Amino acid sequence: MQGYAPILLLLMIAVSLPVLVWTLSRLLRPDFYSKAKYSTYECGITPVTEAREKFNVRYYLIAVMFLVFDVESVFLFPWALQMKELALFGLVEMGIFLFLLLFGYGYIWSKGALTWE
Amino acid sequence: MTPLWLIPVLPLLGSAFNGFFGKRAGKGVVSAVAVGTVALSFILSLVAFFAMQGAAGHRLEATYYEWMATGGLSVPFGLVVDPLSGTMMLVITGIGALIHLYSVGYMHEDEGYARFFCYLNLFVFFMLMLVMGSSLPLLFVGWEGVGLCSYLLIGFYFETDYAPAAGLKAFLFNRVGDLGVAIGMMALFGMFGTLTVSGILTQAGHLSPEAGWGLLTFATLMLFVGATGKSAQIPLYLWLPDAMAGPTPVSALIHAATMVTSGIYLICRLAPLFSLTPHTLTVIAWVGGATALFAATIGLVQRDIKKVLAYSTVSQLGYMFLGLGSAGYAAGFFHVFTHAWFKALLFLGAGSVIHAMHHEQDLFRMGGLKSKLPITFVTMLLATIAIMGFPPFSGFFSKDEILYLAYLKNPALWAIGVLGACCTSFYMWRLMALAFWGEPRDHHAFEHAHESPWTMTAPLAVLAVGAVFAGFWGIPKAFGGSFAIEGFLAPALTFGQSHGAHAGHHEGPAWLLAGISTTLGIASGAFGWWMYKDGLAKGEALGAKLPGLHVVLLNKYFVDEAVEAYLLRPVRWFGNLMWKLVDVILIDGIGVNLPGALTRVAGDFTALFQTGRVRNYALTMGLGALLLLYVFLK
Amino acid sequence: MNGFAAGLWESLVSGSKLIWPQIFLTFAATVMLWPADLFVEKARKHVWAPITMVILALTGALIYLTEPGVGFSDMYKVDGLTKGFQALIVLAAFLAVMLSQKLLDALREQTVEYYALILFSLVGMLTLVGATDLMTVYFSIELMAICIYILVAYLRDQNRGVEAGLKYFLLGAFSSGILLYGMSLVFAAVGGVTTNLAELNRLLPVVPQSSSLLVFSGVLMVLVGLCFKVAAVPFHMWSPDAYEGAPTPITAFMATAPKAAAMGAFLRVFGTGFAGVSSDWMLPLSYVAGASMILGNIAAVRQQTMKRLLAYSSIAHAGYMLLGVLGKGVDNAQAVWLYLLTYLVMNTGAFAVVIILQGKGEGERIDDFRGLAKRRPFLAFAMMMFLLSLAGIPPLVGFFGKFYLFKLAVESGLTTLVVIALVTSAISAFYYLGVVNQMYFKEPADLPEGAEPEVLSTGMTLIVGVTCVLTLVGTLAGPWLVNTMFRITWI
Repeated sequence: MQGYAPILLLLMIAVSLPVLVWTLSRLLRPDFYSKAKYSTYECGITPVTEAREKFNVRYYLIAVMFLVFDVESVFLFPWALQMKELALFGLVEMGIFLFLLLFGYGYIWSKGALTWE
Repeated sequence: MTPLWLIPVLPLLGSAFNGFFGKRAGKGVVSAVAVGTVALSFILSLVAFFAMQGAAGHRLEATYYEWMATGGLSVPFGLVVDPLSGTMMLVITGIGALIHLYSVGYMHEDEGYARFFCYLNLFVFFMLMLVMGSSLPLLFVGWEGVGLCSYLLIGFYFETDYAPAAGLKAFLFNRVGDLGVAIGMMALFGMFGTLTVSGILTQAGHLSPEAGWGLLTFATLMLFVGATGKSAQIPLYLWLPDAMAGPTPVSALIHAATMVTSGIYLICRLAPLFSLTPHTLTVIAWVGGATALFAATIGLVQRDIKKVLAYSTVSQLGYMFLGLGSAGYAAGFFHVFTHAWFKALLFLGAGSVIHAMHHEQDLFRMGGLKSKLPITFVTMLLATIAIMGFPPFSGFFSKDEILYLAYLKNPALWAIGVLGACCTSFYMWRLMALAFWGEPRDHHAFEHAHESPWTMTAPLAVLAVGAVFAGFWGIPKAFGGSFAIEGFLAPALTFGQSHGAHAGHHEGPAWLLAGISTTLGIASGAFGWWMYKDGLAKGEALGAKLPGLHVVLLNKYFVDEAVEAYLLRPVRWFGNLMWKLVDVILIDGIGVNLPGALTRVAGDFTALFQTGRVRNYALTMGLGALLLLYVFLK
Repeated sequence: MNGFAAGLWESLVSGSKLIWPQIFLTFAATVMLWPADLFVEKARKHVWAPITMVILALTGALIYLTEPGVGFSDMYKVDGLTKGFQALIVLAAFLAVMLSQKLLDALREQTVEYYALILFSLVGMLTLVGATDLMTVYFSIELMAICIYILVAYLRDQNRGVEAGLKYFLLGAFSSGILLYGMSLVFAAVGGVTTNLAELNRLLPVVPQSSSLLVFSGVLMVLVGLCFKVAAVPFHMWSPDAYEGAPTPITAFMATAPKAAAMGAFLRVFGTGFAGVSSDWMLPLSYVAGASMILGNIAAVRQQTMKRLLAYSSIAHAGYMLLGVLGKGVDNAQAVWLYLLTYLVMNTGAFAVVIILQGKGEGERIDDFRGLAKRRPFLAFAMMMFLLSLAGIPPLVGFFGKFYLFKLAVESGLTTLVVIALVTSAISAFYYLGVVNQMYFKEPADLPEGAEPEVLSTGMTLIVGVTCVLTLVGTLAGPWLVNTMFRITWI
């Protein structure tokens, strides 16, 4: 258990800090409410639509794909650094990994996920 | 070697065919299949019978597979042919085939032609299982099966009111007896640890005669209770007269020649056991004797031709038990054999009369049929002479041997038997006189009466031959014969043991006894004929002179009424109470509906949690996990 | 090549022998998705069903041929348990694919993804039952679950299906979190040295007193995570909704294959990994099992739709099967396997009947079964057999499995739970017979205009017929099954 004491400490500090800051600011700041203060602030121009806006679903698709390839590169870095030690094994393992990703890439391509119209 | 299994299976196949395809196949095919299978079965039985005589120990046995094996119980599925079962098989398939043939004529106008033969064939199958089964459970299967077929066939005319009721009555009375058989079987299993007949009898051979006390007496008494149910003895005889509601061939086959004798068969099968229990034998003898006389007196006044014969059957079965009880297994069984011929003949003859008279069963509306139905008349006359015990017709030898043995056991039993025989003689001649002599009392029916077709008369003729000559198989020793049947049956009855079948010495005034009973029988028969040959007048006058006795006999000693008042009504009342209190309130209400209702309520309650909101689900999960953590945290 | 890499290489080569079925499945499903699907016209996507069935049959053969052994640094093991449960899972998938064809054809929703996802989820399940390391358990559960989330929501234009898929996904993620947390606590409790089950079994009973809380909460959380997968009360909430919303063949699939896989994992993790600390989890699991039997059966009574009824019934059956986990012995595991096999047969049959009726829009509601005996006597009879068998009425095959399981549970001293199981079985007969009552003793509702009962397809008839026959006379194969069952062992 002892080894986890710093984590617990960090957790406590992490929780207490925002509590402390918010409480302090609440106590220190002046409170003047007016209607204008509740309106959406947009460079002084009166807002015309809701702030919440729907994004095209393709953004999500792209984002997910980005994530996949991002993770791929995260895997590639350590492998690249240890390439000499891992030798043939590493090459084969990474080959399988990339191969599968390549299939996935081919799949989404053929499904038309990369076309934007 | 003959495939023994084919013998029962053939009628079963016939039954299945007629049951499934009978309606479409047409009457010709149905009759061919029904009669053919039983006839084939008869031929195979003959082959097996002769093979058996050549076999070691006069016994053929075939075991097919292990039928039941649980714990200490092991029952093989096997069939046995020995002198006892072999004779029964010949009777069942032989007389059975004749009656099937007869039925082709008798039933040809009936709607349920195929159904009838389906049941009848099924009966033959079960009856064969009963006699051929190598173990008591298998015998019991046949026992139950014939009860079922009997029920189905008695209630054959199900559109009437009385037939289904009569079927039910027969079934219920038989159930009481069946319980006895089941209990007896369990007791025997408890004693011997096996249920095969050979196993039980082999072990019984090692028992000392003193072992007859206690459990063995109980077991044999229970088996006898079963026998009284199936063979219609006091007190379980009430169903047989009602069973006449079934078609006449059924009465002939099931309720005269075969099924009702299965009680006697059961006792003969286990004869060595019964020999060890003298008390049981005494009970059997007295019950048999009482039934013989009691039923015969009722038969004196019946108007329905089939009812007369039914009471006669009950009475004759009583004689058989009287023989068994007097340790004359061979004699009792001999009477089974002879009775099968002449009683089947009488029933078929009665059927022929009924057929000719357009389903008129009332003796008082017949008369003068002698000239119209010559073949029926002659054959029935022969049967009547046989049943009254006129030498040398078949009934004489078997009945005389029984009476003789009864005399050796107790002269009072002999007296009862002779009295019964006189009644038998009287009611049979009364029946003959009313039906065939005198003036026709129903002119319309008489005008249209005609002799039956050959399919009906041919069996009559064959049976008549048997009724006359069957007795020569067992001419008693007292009359210079060898009582051959006893020697023939000995391997089955004694099972190779010294004590067993009848071992008493023949001593006593055999000729004198036979002379007395025969003379009295002829006298009462002649009296009966004289009383009724010219019509009803003399009989009515006699009835008027003895009003009390006449009423009592006419109402069969009021036994049915007494049963209704003192047994059925309280049972119904109690049943009603149980139904309303225990069944409706306790079991249905508290036992079934309440848990059902509770379950439903609980189901609704659980449905409250299934809100469909994923956050509630997650909450339940989380709380569940926390609850487990909390509750089981040490 | 240096020593370290050579060792890894060696391990990869020797280990890959153990996972040929998985490798084959992965490869086949991947190729199916791309590029093979490019060459199949849109109208002919249904060809993937027979191809999938062939792949599954080959997988079955591979499973049969795989030699027992241990590999991947003791993270995966092939033994009797692995092979037995793998065979069950593949069989379940095979039946599910057979069931799928008709419905997907009718809805015009045939795609390659459907079949590929089944295959991918299968890879997870096959690995799960052989997992001998908490890490393997975790990632194979995830692989299995993610594919099934998607399959539940497969019919995207039906709100119900999408909702069910989303619910299942959210709750599944939640339970995965709990599971992973529990694993990490266990990992911490033994000093952060291993997640291997055999090692854990050695180390857990001897952890210092100060860590016993960690052990307890860790084990309990793993238990919660696995209970979620087998849908045991109170972690069952997702299952009625998911079962109802999913396409019916997927419901049948979910009720059998993932359940079998999770039961396999349950048996192995708790039977070998946590066996030494059984005092920590026996009692909680008993309560979970008892609650599943009671709640599953009681809640089923008032269900209006057949799929929900079967969902609750499957919760109850999970409760029964947990008896086998609680028994802890190898023979108990065998009984669970047998139970799953019988359950697979009768459950598939029941769902097949639902699917046949569903073809014309009926079959979902229990009312739709009204008078079925008059309209379709064969189907009604088969359904009756399945339901009676599910209720465990002898001599049907369901009784066989139940009897064996309960008998062993009694011998393991779980008398109270077995009593609960028997009582709730009686309750279950109540709702199963309710359906029989609808089929046999109620007059059929008037069919809508023109809705003639359609002719059964050969495949569906085959499934219903074969499962019905197996349900009826499967007990005859009892000795053979028991013999097979005895090969379900862990080395």
